[in-house]
Amino acid sequence: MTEPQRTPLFAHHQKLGARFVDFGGWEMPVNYGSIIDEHNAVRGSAGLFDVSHMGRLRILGPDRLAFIERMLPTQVRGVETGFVLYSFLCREDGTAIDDITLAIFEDELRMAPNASNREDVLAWLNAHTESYDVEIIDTTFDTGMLALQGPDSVAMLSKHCPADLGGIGYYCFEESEFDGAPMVAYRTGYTGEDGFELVMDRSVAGAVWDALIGDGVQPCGLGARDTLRMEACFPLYGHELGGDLTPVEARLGFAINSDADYIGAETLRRQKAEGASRRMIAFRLEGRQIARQGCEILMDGEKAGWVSSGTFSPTLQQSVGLGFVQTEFSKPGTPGLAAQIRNRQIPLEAVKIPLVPKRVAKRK
Amino acid sequence: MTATPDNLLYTESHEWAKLEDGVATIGITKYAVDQLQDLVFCELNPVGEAAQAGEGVGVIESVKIAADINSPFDGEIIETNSAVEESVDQISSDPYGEGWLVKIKISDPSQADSLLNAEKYKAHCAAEEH
Repeated sequence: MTEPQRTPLFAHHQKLGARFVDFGGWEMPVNYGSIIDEHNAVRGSAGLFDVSHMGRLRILGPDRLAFIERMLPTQVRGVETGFVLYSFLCREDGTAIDDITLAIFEDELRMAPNASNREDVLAWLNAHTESYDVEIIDTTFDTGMLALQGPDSVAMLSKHCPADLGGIGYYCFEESEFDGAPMVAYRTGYTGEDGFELVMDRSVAGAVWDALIGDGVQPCGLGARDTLRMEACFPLYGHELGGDLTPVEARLGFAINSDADYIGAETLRRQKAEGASRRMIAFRLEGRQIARQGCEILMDGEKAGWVSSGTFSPTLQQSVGLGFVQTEFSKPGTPGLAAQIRNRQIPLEAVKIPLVPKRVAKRK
Repeated sequence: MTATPDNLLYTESHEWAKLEDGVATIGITKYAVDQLQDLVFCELNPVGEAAQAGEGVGVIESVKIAADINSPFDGEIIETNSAVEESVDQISSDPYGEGWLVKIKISDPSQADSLLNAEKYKAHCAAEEH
């Protein structure tokens, strides 16, 4: 096992008393104090996450659009500069190598894969560049990335950034500055709240972090990031994607809209049109015990699926989660579902997605 | 680090035990509470069930993780703290008092010899921090 990577902010987390966990090969803060307090700060005011472990790849060259059209099931051609797309890289059988975001810049594309998949994504992209004039540059280690999330995000960032932040649409970005240093502000996130993901040079990441924390923004770790994304029902690779799961099963069909000849097109188009035999659900449990990843989901006592993510929802004050069941049982309110937790079967209610309503900015 | 009571015995898996007249009261330590963070749920095995040293007598869940409560002794569960099954707050606020979990009528008092005293337990926690 190689030594875990550290982000430019590692010492800053240590100073704040963070507990660390190995996540995708990176030594990351899981919490600074109470996960519930960190979670509530994001829902109530603002929280700051170090997400520098995420991959940051630049795709350059005259054939970049044709190349990316081959790689993604999401329509990229015609999307204007300044927009961000959510998508995934799939194999021919429709299974996902990773889910990613793709930002459209004037002269290049920028892709953010998951930390744990960065090397696989790089290898996959590089294995398909042969007939295209493109270049892929990994800038993960040259840059820092922070997520400022919560209803006060615009106000907090405005103190340091001259851009008209409130005017940036959801899933759009602007190239601007933070206290004079170049920064890209993406109005994206993984919490279901308004907010920004900020990318800057590695050398200034610490100053950006310290400025926002100094202004009273709550530092948040991966623990709160996970409870927040579960309430918003955002998939996490290794839970709702990965293995033999496809994006259609994870209810991400909205991002399968390209007419191009992309890898996995046949399977994904068919699945999107016909539906898959299993489907992701969001659920609530009776009581406070948590159904963790891997718990069986039962229908009238018979195995009908599994829990992919589970936690205690600080917002709903209830045990919640995501899972996969045979599609016929996936409708909200389907009677007879239960989770097998240790030696007990706990009644499980499939509910509408998301578990907690999203309060993100308007799209442009 | 918070006070680790001198009159208790400890396990490496962060349970404490208080021995009185052949009965061991079991709980989890302040260190365990701090490690778990954000406790949400506790489920204890029923009264009358056998306990085995090193085996679970219940489960505590935090937002992050589910942790077994391991018995330090062989014996029989003779009482459980139903208050903590209703609300885990007492475990966080008073782990060595109101937050006790189960009482076990022990069958082999010599098992106490393999438990840690407060001094050794503190050293064990310090080592785990690294």
